[in-house]
Amino acid sequence: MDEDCDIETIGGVLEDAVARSILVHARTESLSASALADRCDVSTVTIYRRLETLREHDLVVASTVPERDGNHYKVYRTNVRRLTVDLTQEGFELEIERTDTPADRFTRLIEEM
Amino acid sequence: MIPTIDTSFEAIAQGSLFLILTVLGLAIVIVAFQGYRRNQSRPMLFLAVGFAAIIVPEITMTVVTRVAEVSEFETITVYQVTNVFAFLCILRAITMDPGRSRAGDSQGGLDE
Repeated sequence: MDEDCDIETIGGVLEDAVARSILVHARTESLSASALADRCDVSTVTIYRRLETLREHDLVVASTVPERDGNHYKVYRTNVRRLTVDLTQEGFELEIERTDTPADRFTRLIEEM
Repeated sequence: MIPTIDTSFEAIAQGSLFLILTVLGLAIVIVAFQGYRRNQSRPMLFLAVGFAAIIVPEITMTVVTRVAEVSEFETITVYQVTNVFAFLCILRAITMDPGRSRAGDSQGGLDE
């Protein structure tokens, strides 16, 4: 799943050290905001802000973990496998390869209808 | 009464098709449900329920008509009623607003 994105926008997101740290920690496992706060050593408020930005650009996906006591909480997972920057006649081109499953692509298809 | 094993061409064709139908139908339901779980997408939940409302009666009626006396009218009515429900769900899935919830649910406050 490749797509072209605005290099300035994504570059701006990745400029932030906490955002990069989230992407690294959530690369192989889904983590809750508080777990991410522990690992990145920042407040949960900061984590939530960065997560919001990352989700807006589809770099992170969230899913809900149901608890027995009825309290659901969200976990977050990195949705990017590779970023490629190409220098062409037209300028820089950014390509994002995502770690989408068929279920994710199906979801996007339905939601965009 | 123990049903004898029917090896006629019709029975084998019907059995195979039923198996294919079941596997494909359930696969779509499972993928749609995964989409709902992974992305918290309400449209995908409706879609999963819609497809399930087609495939589950299909499986159920195939089994029920084997073991019980069910009239054709009853069978068709079950299909039609569940299909209406299924199509409503699918229609809802493709017309509703996904309403993406964001990461910062009920989170406010100052940065750092």
